[in-house]
Amino acid sequence: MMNTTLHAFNARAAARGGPDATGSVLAGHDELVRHLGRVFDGLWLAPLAGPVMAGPAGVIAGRQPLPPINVWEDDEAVMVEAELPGFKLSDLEITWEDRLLTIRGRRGDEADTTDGKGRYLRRERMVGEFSRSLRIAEEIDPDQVRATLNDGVLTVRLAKAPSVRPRTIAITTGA
Amino acid sequence: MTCCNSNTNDPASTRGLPSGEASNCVCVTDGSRPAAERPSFMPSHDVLRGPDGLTVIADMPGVKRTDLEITAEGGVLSIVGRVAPRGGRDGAEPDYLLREYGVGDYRVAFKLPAEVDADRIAATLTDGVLRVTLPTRAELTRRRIAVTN
Repeated sequence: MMNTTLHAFNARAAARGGPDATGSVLAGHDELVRHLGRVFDGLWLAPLAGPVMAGPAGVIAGRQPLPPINVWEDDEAVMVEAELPGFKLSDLEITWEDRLLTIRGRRGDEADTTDGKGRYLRRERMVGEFSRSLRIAEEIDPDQVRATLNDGVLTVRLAKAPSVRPRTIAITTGA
Repeated sequence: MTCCNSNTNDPASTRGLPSGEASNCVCVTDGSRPAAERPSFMPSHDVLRGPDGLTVIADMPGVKRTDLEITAEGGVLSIVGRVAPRGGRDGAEPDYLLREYGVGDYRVAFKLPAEVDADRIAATLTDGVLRVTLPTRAELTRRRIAVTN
């Protein structure tokens, strides 16, 4: 379901030309958010109707699909996981600002690194730059945002602020 | 990424690696069923032809080298990458707020062109990207057929 939606979104973004690699990523981002709101009439936001997230959005240069993202939460943290095979730490930039988690990255063309002489017979893998942003409505401790990259899987752990974590209330007997 | 075991159950179906100029690609599973009920996925992949042979590059995020099984048998190259459950505690599935991909094993199989030298197939796995090199032998690529009367 989400995949179908995502592809539809990308197809539309591509049809519109999409933002170019050197253009303002944020401007394109805002435009796409407005566009999404119109086109899908809130459909995208439907699975995110819970308290945590306001909605995902992103842009990519080169008309390629965005890397997919999964998000879940437990009592202590909101977890954001992205499949980013072939990305190294130096290829990624992760920022947390004003409740907005942004993951940017770039993956090069394999033909560049192979020997320069190969030609593609089939090509499915994403190449180029991407930027995805997630607005997290939950109160997050900004000093406790941690990212790890293992075997092409990026995991960002956003610890919830102590004030919003569930706590057990001790019951005392009244006098 | 495409889920490949939801509706393709033909055990004989494999992806044809292009031989020569023709690209006879068919969609695909390798026929073997996953042990558990977990879904398996066909990895996104590129196929490149270079002067020395073919290269298959497949995105298999989450796969470690020890969890990868590559076999070449009977003219079929089979790739299986097992992915450990992740997300929830004790491997349980978490409560997703947003779910754009499923976590499961990767499976894909290719029909090898005759000119591939199966003894020299090599593979590397780096940062979740599998690269399989399939060297070709010139004497297998072109064969002169003698005509007798």
